[in-house]
Amino acid sequence: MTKTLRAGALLFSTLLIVVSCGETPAPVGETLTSEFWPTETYGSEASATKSVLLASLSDGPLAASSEASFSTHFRGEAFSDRPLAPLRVESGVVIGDWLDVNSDLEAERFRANWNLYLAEFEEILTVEQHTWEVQLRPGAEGEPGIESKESLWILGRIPDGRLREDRLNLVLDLVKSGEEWKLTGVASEAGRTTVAPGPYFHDVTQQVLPPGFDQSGAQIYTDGGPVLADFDGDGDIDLFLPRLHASARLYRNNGEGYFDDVTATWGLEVNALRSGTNSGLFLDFDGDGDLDLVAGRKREGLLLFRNQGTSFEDITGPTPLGGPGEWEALAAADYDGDRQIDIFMANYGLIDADHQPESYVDARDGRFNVLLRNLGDGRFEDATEAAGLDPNRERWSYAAAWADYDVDGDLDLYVANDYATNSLYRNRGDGTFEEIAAEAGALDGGNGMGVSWADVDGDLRLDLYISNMQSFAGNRITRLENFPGTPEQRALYRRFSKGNSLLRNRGDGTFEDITESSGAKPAFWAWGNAPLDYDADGDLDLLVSGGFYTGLRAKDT
Amino acid sequence: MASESAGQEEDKDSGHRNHFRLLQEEGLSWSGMEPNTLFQNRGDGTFDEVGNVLGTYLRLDSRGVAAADLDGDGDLDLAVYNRNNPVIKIFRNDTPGQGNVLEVDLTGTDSGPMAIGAQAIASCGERSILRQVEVGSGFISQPPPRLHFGLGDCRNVETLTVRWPSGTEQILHDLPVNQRVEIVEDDDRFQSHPLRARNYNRQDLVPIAGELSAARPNLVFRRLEGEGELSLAAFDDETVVLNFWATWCTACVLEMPDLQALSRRFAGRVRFLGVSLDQEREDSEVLAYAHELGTTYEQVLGTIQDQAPFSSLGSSPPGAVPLTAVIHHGTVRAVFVGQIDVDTVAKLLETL
Repeated sequence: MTKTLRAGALLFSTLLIVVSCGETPAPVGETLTSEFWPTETYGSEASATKSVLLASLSDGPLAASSEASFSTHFRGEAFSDRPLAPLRVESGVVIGDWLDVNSDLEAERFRANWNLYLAEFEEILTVEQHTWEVQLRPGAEGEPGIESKESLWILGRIPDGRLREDRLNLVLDLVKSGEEWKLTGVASEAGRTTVAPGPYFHDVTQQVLPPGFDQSGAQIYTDGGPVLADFDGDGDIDLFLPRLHASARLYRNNGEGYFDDVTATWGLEVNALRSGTNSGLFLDFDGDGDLDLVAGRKREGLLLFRNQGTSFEDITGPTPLGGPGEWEALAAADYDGDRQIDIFMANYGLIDADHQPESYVDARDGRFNVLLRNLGDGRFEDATEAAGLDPNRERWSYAAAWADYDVDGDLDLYVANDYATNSLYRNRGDGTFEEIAAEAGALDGGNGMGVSWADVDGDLRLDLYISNMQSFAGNRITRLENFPGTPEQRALYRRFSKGNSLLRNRGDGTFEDITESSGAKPAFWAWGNAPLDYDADGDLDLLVSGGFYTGLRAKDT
Repeated sequence: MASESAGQEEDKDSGHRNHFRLLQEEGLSWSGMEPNTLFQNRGDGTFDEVGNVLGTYLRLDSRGVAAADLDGDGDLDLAVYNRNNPVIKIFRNDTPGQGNVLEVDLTGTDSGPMAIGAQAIASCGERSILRQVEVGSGFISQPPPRLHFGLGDCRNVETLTVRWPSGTEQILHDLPVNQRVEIVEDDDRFQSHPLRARNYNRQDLVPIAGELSAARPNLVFRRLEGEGELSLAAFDDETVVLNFWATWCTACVLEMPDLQALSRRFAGRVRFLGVSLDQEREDSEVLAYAHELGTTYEQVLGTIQDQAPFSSLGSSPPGAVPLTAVIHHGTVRAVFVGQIDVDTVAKLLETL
């Protein structure tokens, strides 16, 4: 049993990270055998046939030449001019869910109808296809067959100039006849059409950032995020950019959203920031009323820069705070009420071709998280154990966020962990914590990458929105009958590939998982998330950033 | 899964090494090309994904993201950090027809310098909105500690209740909208700074004056002053400036004094007509508001459908306000989306 599950876990680790962008994944790892995962092999074999609809989006209408992909027993649904459920309109965006149709078109009529459907778009801009689930469905003669659930997203322009995106959830039936895979059915389980007057967000990077700075990317495990605050106190929001493989930059806002590079004039053109940083925070750690800067070196720890009015002074001392690690997010708060701002540092684990976590769902071999207690005068002490933040400090932690979620007057801490459940540290009010994620219903097993506190339902309580990994391949294999393990273990693995989570604050110190009904679950391989009321209508919308590693070729490993 | 044999360890390692080799040497992807996602709240904590049609679509391998009002116009822009080139992307928010906003900076005394963890509740009309001060969230990111309240069409924040970390609760009354206010713990005075006008991306949205020559649409509006209706056809031997606006639209409110000045300057030569899109408000309320802003030209009530024939002359979205159209003898000669430039409009009117 252990052995099978181990094999399953390995497959999970390689497959769960695979997304098929129109191409099915090639087998990875020696244990991926057609005997164990025939659906993956069949899906791969049938990929050309599966992609016939996709190809029609770029190459023009489904022509007679595509006939070979259709079985003589084919039956398909109509897509053109689908009836929609009552439309929702929000800030000029019109959303219509597709109603079911009971059409039963044979191949030729299906192709004609599909071509009519494509003609509803004047121009197709982008297309994505992903495979969610594949199950064995042998053909009538016992020949190999699969039912493949695919999402197909089509973004385009319609004749009146507006942008339209259709999200189709296709159910493709395929059988292998001789050496050829043929489509025997195309249906749509659910679909949605979204239309907007035009983009509301415009990429202004080139206009607002000074020219000529190094925008080059880096290796696979590079991370980082924008650090935003008004560090010079002139009323506008400035930007610090940590960089792992380049020099960190400090940008000052001119008041109208245009930025000047002031790294040198503010004293940050220093060796410690030439490379190696992945995090930062603007915060007043010396309590003198202006914003100082802390910058995290991923491998070495935290640097302190005191704001002297017109420049930053490096007061780190001989070694960075926290010491050697795999440092990730920083989150600051005065947890003990002494009016000095303390800093929590999330610590990950070592990962590369030779190092992996001990478990994909319960890893405890990460580096230790640290709570730095502010002693004043730019001095900090490691208070992790004294404060009771040591339980689960050995998780592979990516992110953390503070909030007085139970409104008892002190700040609590949520930590999002990769390869494990998350942690919720409730502040007892005396500067010590208890880890209550399990009792509070806030474990959220998943590959946690980012977390934000936000009142998403307007009930004046802070809910939790957590970015997790969503994996199409993970969804596929964990749904198979032969995925190893007990029902509980299978459910656990399935959960770890499901996507983001939304935990509603009940107001009694516990949370209700409303992920499934919220619609905020699927956001790909998610990292960051930013709650924002983009249209200023009073409710919080959610921006999720994602995608893991795009190589030179779109094909997945 | 507690124990593993050496053989399984080998499998595991070779699998991963193979994986990295495929990425590095053969240039394959690993969950690549995935767009970022924008979930739009339906108002009750359920969401629709709208990012691809609203322009946040980005196929880079994005990591941290934070929202902030970078250009000081009251709406939240985006800074997106990516693994691959370009490392940073800035997206400006140009959402048309946004609501009013209030931005709040809190300074603590007993609560420590940044009042981290302070929760503030803005009550405006029917609605109460909670925001908290935080330093570090999402994934390795810091959104600014400034609080941002979207208020829809509400124009007066009756109360702002601040729960300071020190334990005190402070209530401020009647805060103006479309301002950034600075509040110090236990001090009921506050400093306020007006926000900049919202910028539409002029290059994208503004058709150029003087080049248009389209027949005026056949529109009939309901009068806000007096009874009955008013048809555009009645002015076919005149020059008309039609200004679509709404009480919740910041840029509209900011440009109305300019329109009033123009109407004075061209009195007797050009007819000015304000078309409010405030279908949900009482007529008398809308009219009172227009007068409060100093306008004396006639006000009527219209719909987004009335505005659409004008916005479609350019590439601007239907419903974008403010929108100002110049109609000369039954022909549309210019359409301006966003806050007008007085000189440009004046120059055009002189030539007609």
